[in-house]
Amino acid sequence: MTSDTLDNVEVLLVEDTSEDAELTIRTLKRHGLANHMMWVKDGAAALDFLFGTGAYVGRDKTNMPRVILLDLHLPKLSGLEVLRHLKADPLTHQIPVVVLTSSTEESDMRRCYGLGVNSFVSKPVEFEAFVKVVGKMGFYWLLVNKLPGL
Amino acid sequence: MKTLNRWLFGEKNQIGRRLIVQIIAFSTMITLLISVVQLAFEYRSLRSAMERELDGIAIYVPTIAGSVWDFDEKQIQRAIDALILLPNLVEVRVIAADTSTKWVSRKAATPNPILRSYPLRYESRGQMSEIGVLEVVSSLDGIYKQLINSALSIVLSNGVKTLLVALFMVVLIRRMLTTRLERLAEKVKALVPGMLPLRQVVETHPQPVPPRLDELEVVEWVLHRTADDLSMAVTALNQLNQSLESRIHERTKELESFSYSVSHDLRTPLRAIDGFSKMLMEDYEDKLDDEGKRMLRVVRTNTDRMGQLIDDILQFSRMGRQDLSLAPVDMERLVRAVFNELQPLVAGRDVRLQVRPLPAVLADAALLRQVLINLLSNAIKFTQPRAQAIIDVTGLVEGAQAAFCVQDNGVGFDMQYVDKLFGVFERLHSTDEFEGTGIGLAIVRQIVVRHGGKVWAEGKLDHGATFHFTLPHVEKNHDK
Repeated sequence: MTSDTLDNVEVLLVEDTSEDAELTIRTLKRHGLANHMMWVKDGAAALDFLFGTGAYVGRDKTNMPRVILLDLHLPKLSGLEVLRHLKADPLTHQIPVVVLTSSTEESDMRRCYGLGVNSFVSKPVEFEAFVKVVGKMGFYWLLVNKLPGL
Repeated sequence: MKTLNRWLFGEKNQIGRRLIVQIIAFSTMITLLISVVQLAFEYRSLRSAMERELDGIAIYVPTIAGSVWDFDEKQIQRAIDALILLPNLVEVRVIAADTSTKWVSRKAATPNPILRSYPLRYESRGQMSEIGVLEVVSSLDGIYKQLINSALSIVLSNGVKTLLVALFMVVLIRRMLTTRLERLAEKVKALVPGMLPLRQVVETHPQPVPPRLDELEVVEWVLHRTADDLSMAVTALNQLNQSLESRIHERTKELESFSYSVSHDLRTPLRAIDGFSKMLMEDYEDKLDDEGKRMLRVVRTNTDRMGQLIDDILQFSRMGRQDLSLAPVDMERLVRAVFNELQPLVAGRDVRLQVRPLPAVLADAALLRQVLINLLSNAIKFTQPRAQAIIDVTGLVEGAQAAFCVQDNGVGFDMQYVDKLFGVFERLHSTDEFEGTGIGLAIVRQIVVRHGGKVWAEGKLDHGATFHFTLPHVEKNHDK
């Protein structure tokens, strides 16, 4: 990606399983929602991208994604840790974060909402259901939801 | 003597022995004291009798005085010879004042004499003059002899009395107290080795009962030790409890992380299998023949089933961990509500639900709802071949428990498999006959058991099944 596209990212997908990422991207694409999409594979990379550090030095930090799709089970920094960072930092705490996970555990939901997550979505196993859920989710956060200054 | 001793006091009867010895000592002392007082009184009365006797002698004095005046020696001697015959008198003498002439009559010498003198007066020409003295020596020997006799009889009779009373006391004490005490002490002593395992838990060197303790001291000692032991045992138990609790806590955490990985790590590859088979079907439709497409469908059907199994096992493990929030539940209302919820399963069929008056229960409403969902959906499912399905729900109160019964006229089951019915993923029918993973009844049992109830089933192949379960009963009208 060029630095121009890096600055125009609308959706940041944080997902370590490439198959899951591919399914998510394909679904969003099918709904015409993945034009400006960025996929990173772990929590540290997600923070680097958002704060313009590490591999992403020089990214324009005034351009933040409209939504962050965050898996919980991630290498290096877990999804919960990433969420805590994002919601604690004034630069990022307004960005909507959707936890997109395989987990259906209530404890996970409690922890996420405790850290201020904007939405918690369990990924269905069955493909049609997955397409439906991820499509609706993308539609809502990218087209229905209003953000200040945009 | 030894046998008598043993019979009286018992082998190890130390309290009894002490009691008897002390009782005998005390009553002997009292007996002696009383005897001394008695003898003192007797001595006094004997002495005063003697004094009276001596006073009586005074009546002879004028006669003797006359004889002395006349100097009638014969008459004097005759008078004192007569006087000496009086009891207790040992010597009588008359001494004339002017001539110092002495007349004596004597019986025997005595170590305990008492002297009494009577002045001899004579009136001559209107003038009273002292002409001599009558001296009488009396002996206390008789009195002493009498006293010794009385003392002997008093001591003898009192001694016998004391001995008899003491014997009676011995028997009484032995009967009522010491034999029982002995038994108690033996029993308590026997407790000590019984407590040894306990003591070994809490202390390294258990102590035996110290010797030379009497029965009550043994009981006291053992009670003391027991109290100590109990407090030590309670402390040890508390510690064990705490370590158990922390172990349970650990296990629960392990289980939680296990079910977490089940929910997350097993689903992810499954979603890839399903998603990519679907993508294959979509993207390469023109390159796949019918057999290829059928095979992909099989892959997806099984992925679907696997997904269902994962969901079921997760639900099962969640039910086991979730805290119960108990409240009175109106069973009739809940049964009807659940049946209404299950209407999509009934669609197009004639399924009749009969709900008899049901007792209310104290339960977690959400979990109880799951029990009813599973039982009623089973009833609906297994009555599928029937033209008219009838589901009958009844209940009654049995003491503190409410017992319920869900009966259907479905395909039933063979009682020989009744033990498998409530197992996890146990099924009595093939998936082609009836859908399901076999988790429903396992969840029913788990929930009922967590409420302290029991669940069991009866059935006959082709003649329906009956599921019974019990829950804590609560009076109606408690809710809302």
